[in-house]
Amino acid sequence: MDIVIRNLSKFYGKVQALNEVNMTISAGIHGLLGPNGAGKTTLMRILATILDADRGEITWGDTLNWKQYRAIKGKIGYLPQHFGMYKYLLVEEALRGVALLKDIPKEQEKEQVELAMDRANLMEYAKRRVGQLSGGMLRRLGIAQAILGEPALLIMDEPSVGLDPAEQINFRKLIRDYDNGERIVLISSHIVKEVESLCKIVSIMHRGKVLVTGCTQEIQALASRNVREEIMSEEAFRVLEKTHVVINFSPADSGYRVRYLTNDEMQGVEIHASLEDSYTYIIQRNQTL
Amino acid sequence: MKRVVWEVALDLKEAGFHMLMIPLVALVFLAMTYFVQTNLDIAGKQNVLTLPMLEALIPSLGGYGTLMLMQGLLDIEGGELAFTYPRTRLYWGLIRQSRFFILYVLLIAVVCKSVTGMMQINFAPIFTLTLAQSFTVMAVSFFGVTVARKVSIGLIILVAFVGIQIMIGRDWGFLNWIYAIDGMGPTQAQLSTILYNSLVIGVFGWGLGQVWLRP
Repeated sequence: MDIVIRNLSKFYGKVQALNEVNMTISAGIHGLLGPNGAGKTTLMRILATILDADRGEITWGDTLNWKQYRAIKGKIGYLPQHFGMYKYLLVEEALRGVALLKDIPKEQEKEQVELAMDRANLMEYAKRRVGQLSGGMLRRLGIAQAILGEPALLIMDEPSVGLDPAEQINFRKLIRDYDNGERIVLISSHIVKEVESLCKIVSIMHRGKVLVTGCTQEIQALASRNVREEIMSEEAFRVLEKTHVVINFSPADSGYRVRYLTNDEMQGVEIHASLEDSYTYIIQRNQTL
Repeated sequence: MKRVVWEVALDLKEAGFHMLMIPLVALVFLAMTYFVQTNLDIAGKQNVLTLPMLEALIPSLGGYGTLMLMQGLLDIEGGELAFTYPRTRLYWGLIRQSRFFILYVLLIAVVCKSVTGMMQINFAPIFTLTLAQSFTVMAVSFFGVTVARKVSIGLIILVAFVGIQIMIGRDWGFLNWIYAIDGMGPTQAQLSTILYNSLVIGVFGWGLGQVWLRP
């Protein structure tokens, strides 16, 4: 079942956070990319039933829409950017509390709580007080509460913030395992590489609009004629910075290896563009329009 | 019914030591009352200290509990998450608060029974007065914290509401709506006025607080 978003708009006073957003979210892992203020969190908060949209509608399959709060809430798991609840409870107690609030039947509670703790690598911290967890462990608890009850729609806002590299790898494995072909996982992230490695479908947002939605490979290809990579001296790099958008650079033997965008399409020359290249290209193109 | 008990237990546990403070402070108050009453009895003097203290303390403690019940929801980063669970806003507001209020009534009853027993005065008017005052102070706290979304500001509103009436309301009666504070217990006329005022302020406080409650 697809989630279909039609003409969704949201205002904060006079500021328009979402501007006629149209999008279809299918089963699988869907990434949302965009700079700060693009509207990603607003869209996620609406999908998580925390905010109401001012205009537009969201439907899920033929029977559900986002006005049926109770039914929708029963099907979603949400991880906000910051998770700090239940600091006086033990990890296990906190998750049992969430299970209660999620109306998970009592006979399934223990099994579901253990499954969520196991998936989030929290088993050894089950008896630790939430207030004593480190930032990364707290994030894992946030992930555990989101996947508790195995919701059909998992919404994660900047899920890997605060996770160390090993935990980030575990997180990616967890999400890949969670995607069983029927569930929807929606991830918003600033880390383009994370979205690139996890998501089959990506949407790029900017200034409250969805600029493009497509397969990760399709979006990667969008910038393939506009990306160049050269090794150049430091002086040449400084000159280039003033005239072009630099995507990435790293020290090389005789100066810097610089990856940058150019407006001139290079006929016949194609570089394998990454999602980061295309993301920068699309945002840059939209800014100059 | 079992789920309701677990939900109440979760609410109380979530607030941690803040909730534990409430019965502890009440216990200290009872110990002080015993000490004061015993000494005044020996000196052959009338106790006019305990009832004003009861009026100031017990409703304020209830207000503190009300604030702490909302802390995880409104005053902690990510508290909005609770609103994504399959519960209504009414649950997060009035339903949880009314369950806490029912529990708090038990504490009020125990405290009032003990105090009136020690002072050898009538239980019913003291209990009714404290109950009405607690209903109002808790409603004002609820309204304060839902509007301000900060427990600290809710606490200031609570202290201001109680403090103004008790301290300034002694001299300017029009600033005192729900306190008797003369140390002798309420007269029937006083009790009627206080009950009416408590009902009006309380209903507005709880009602408007619920309307304001949002992620």
